[in-house]
Amino acid sequence: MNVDEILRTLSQEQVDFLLIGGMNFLLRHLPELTWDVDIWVKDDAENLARLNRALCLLGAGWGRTEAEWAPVPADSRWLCTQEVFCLTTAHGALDVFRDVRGLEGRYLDCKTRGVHARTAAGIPFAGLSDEDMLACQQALPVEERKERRIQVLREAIQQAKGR
Amino acid sequence: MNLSALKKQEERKREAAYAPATRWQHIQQTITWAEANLPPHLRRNRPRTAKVLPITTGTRQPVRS
Repeated sequence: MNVDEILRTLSQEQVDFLLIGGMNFLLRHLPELTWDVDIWVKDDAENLARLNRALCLLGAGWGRTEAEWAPVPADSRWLCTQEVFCLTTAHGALDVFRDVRGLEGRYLDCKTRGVHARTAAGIPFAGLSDEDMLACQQALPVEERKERRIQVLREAIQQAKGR
Repeated sequence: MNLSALKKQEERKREAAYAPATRWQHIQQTITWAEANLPPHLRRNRPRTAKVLPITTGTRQPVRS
């Protein structure tokens, strides 16, 4: 998966997004087995239109059913039909969240607290803060929580407070 | 449908739609990318200081062939 190309295209199309999930955790803390890029996007019509342009450039595919899997349409209205989409792209798997459990309706607050960083190739991105990553994990059903991630995040937050 | 169920359904659909060869190629690329993007303290081949060995006082004997 070419994560840099996914992030670069989203930034190029001026998509308002936060990197969340395993990639965001990996870039700041510990390697964790993850095969997709998770992003949380600002949920408004203009941003979804920009996101759709980026998805077209990335060669994204999605379908209401497996049989209907196809390149995403040029009209962004399909992005309003549900809260989360798991897509294929020419550069790897991409999960798009219009809202995130544990942080519902707080995209702008989370973006303000977001951590700005660059990948090793120099691609800039904003990632969910440690506190918000922890809130996400704690909002999951117990069987879906990643205990190691929770432990590492708690330690990182404690260390940051101690500085 | 709640969010967890929707996410699982989406993942199942994508898994079925992913061309296996492309999927495998993406997985290999992800491993390479992840290795290059680890936090600095976890990177391999990172600068390290030489390990300091204890100084011994014994006299080295020449190796006889």
